Amino acid sequence: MTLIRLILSLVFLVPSLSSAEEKEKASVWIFVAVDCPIANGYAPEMIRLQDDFESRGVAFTLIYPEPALSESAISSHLKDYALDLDYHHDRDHSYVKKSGVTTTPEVAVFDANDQLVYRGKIDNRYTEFGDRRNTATETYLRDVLSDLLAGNPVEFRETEAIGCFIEALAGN
Amino acid sequence: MASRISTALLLLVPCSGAAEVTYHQDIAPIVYQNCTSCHREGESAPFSLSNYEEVSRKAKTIARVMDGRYMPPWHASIDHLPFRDMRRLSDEEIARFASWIEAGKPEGDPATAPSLPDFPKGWQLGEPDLVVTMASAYEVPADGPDIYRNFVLPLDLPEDKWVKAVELRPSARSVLHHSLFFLDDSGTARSLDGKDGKPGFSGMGFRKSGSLGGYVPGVTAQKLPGDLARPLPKGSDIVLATHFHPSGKVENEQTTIGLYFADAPPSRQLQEVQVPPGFGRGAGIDIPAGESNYVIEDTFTLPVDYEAISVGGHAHYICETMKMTATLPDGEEKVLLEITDWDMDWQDTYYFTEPVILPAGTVIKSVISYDNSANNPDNPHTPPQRIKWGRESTDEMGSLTLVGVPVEADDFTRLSRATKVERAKILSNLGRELINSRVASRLPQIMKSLDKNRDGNLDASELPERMRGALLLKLDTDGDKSLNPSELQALKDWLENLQAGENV
Repeated sequence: MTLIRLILSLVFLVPSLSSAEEKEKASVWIFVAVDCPIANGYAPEMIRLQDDFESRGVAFTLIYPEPALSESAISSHLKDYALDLDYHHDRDHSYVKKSGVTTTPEVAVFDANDQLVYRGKIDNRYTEFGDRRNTATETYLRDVLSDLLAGNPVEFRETEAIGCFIEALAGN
Repeated sequence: MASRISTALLLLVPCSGAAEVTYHQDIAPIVYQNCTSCHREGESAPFSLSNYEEVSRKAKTIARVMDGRYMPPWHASIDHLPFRDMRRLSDEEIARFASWIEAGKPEGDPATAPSLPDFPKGWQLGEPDLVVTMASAYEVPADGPDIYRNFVLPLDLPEDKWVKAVELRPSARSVLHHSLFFLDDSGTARSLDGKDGKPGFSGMGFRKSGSLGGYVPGVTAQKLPGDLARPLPKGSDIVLATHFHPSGKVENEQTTIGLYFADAPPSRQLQEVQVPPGFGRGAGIDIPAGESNYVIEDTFTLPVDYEAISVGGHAHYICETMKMTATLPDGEEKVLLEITDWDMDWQDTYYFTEPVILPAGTVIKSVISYDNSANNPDNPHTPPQRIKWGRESTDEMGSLTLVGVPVEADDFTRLSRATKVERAKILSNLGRELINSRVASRLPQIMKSLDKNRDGNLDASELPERMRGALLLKLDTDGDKSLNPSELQALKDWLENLQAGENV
């Protein structure tokens, strides 16, 4: 989708775009599984994040780290949860390794220089399995993105994600 | 003898040499016994765990939830009387699972695998005598807070029935968390149904005339033992008090229940003993914001010999622990139920392996504690707020309930009257409070000052917060969360009668 938008904007909007705006200010990898109830419960928040931040220069990519997943399982998952995001099937776990995530749902945020600035949970709705707040009181991911967009210096931050663990690849 | 021992040793040696933990030999038995009844196609749990591939895919997650004892869900302490169908892993089983992962999740020899238990498909107890489905589906949104909603199933039974078991089949398993089956013989629930344009209604604006138990995921539907059965009088509707968790996508729930009837009325009638009664309404639950260990206690003395079959608790988010103890006349103490990590999500009913006989004179004591501090992640309020007894899930309740029968069938009336006296006590507390503040004589003035919008009715928001729940329970007979002039007249009559009674 982002690619299509980019091409469209290049075709129609090139004169009005400065080069700085073309470059993403942050990219977010959201690690998910098709059958993890905690990850799925965050689908509406993922859509809200996209609505709130994509137009401001944040790129979101869903990452499916389970190697054996079929393409049709991924496409029905996207459809069922109304997710209109770019996705990557991380069969060789290169994204898992680069970001160091362990869980779904877990996010990794990279700044404009491709530095990892945040790894962990989207917010604090879950503190433990079965302990779910009705509304989050800490919005870690939103805070990091707001800081990046405001141009504030962001030191690496980390929280412990709660959800379904990403299994190691066979043979690892 | 000597040769037999050496043969045994020979057999043992290769075994311990190949101490590798494998899926088929060591893990499958744990999973099939404890997980698969819910974690399989068509059942309530989120993913299937019925073969090597499926268990291997989720192994680390399984190990983690086993270790924290989040799964299998079982909240009753195992240190006391034994319960039926205990879903509780031993420390050794949890350690075995962890060592299997450490060894790289070896599959092992399929020849050593136990066969998957023969889980029944569809109705677990066979074809029901009566199947009832919600008239239309209720839409659960993708996101947002938990939802508590009541659905009315009109039965229009021409005759009284006796119910051995109720089985529930949800249409949207991932969102339906639990459902309690209440009876309403007044038609009130029916009249509330759909008033806000959606199927069912919110809040507990009807008087429960009975209960047929409930459904919690993970519990195998069971018929009541012996000839026991719950009464289902003709003219009663079933009200499904249902709790939903949004799942991330919109789901539509249209519940079906199956009723299993007894052929004949039971020889002894079931009588619940709830301590404190009224789900804790009279226990004065009023928990200051920030209080981390607020405790309520209540006792009930059995007037007759009693045979307890099951026990369960009810409370909301900030309850932490509950314990029900029976002190027998000879001084012996039996802990009937202890929960040290109350979780509103898993309101189970625990069936004693053997019925527990409690002689007349036994004192049943409940102790329930709450944590209303900011450190309690289950606290629905940030920052914490004062929490009192009430029907909303963000209010609190607290009680433990024994289900059983009097040992002698003839004792039913005595026992039933004793439990009613307990309930009456609560209402008389409310009455006494209103009398003390001379409400009856000042009713017109009070009415005028409370009726802010001057429509002649006292809406819930116009009632004093402290008494709102109790007043609506006592007086709001049409369940519209507002007191109309005739309901207020009933308050006056009730208080006058009470006062007359007290003056005598």
